Amino acid sequence: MPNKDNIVIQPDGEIISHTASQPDAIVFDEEKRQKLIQILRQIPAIVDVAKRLSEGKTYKAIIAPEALERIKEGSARLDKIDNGLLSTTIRDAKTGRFIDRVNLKEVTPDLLSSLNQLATQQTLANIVHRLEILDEKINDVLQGQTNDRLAEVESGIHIYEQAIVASNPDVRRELLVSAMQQLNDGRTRLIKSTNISFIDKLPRNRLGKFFSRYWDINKHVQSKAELVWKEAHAIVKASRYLVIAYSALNEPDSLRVSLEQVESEVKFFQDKMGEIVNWLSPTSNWRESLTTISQGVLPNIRDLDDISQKTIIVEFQPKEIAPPEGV
Amino acid sequence: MKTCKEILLDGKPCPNQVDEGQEYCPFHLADQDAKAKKKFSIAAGAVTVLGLVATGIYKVAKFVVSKKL
Repeated sequence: MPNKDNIVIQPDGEIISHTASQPDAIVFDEEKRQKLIQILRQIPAIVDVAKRLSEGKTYKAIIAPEALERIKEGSARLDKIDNGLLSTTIRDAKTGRFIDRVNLKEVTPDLLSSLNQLATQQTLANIVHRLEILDEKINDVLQGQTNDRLAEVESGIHIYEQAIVASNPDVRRELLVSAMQQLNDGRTRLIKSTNISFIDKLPRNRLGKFFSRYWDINKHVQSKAELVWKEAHAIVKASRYLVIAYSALNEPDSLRVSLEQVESEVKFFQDKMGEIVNWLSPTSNWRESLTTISQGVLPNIRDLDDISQKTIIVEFQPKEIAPPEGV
Repeated sequence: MKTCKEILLDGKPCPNQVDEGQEYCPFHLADQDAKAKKKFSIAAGAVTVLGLVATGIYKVAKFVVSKKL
């Protein structure tokens, strides 16, 4: 099953099965919602509709996936469209009642590309959030334990932290590139050097287990699994900061390539982690963390491909778009 | 994939998956094996001790008999 179907983040931070998720939609965080409202303000038709809405009530602007699909296809074709596809539906947030449909054909290509960029940024932010939860789930149990293998990844994180406080944009960019290089190298080295093949050498039947050279096989598995687990933690950490760094440089395509390069190796890694889980006590406090790792330590690159198939939902009050009369 | 046949202390079934052709997960199979090895080592130890005791008794008896003769 592909990575993306396995985990979905709920608002309370719980990781649940994808099958129980809501229909595909991009819901913006407050910072990006404000940016989206800025874009909506520049569309006269939306401002006109907003003026007619009741003050104080909350409405939802629903931008259909077709709009983003058209953006992806190229905004040059915008002028030919007059079928209502590029439209925003405005509904009452409480009742869901249809209020009005706003045609977006007058939107300039620049605005559309900002909208697309915003959707990409939100998708990257969602990916980072998912990795943060994964990181926390591992960190909670690993707390206080040192990990030498993290050194290279940690160094990349430190460079990233220096980059975000740099005031000179050139220095910032240079540091971000350097951080990405370090994180990519560290992650690749970890994936290639992690000894996960021990699981294949373990005896599978009773007789084999009885005559195994390990007196207590479960103890042996646990000691080996601990190292693998720490390395998985470093991979998650590196992935998380890589997404943030690529996002800061607004280079989702480079992120996509960086992820594709390690995808098959990581898939193998995750499958083996899934096997290790069955060698652990059901009451082990590692269990949940390892199960989560086996479901995905890399962000889902398909999330970026799916942006154009998602509906953008933004809640707003009329005054946020159209200032009240007389102001 | 089948799940393990083992019932845990809280009465819930073990969530681990089993290998093909097995009834128990690798963890519980290894656990059973470790217990069997422990029993086997206790039995082997007991047999060794008994063997040593028997040998000792035999040697003492032989020594006593040789002295009486």
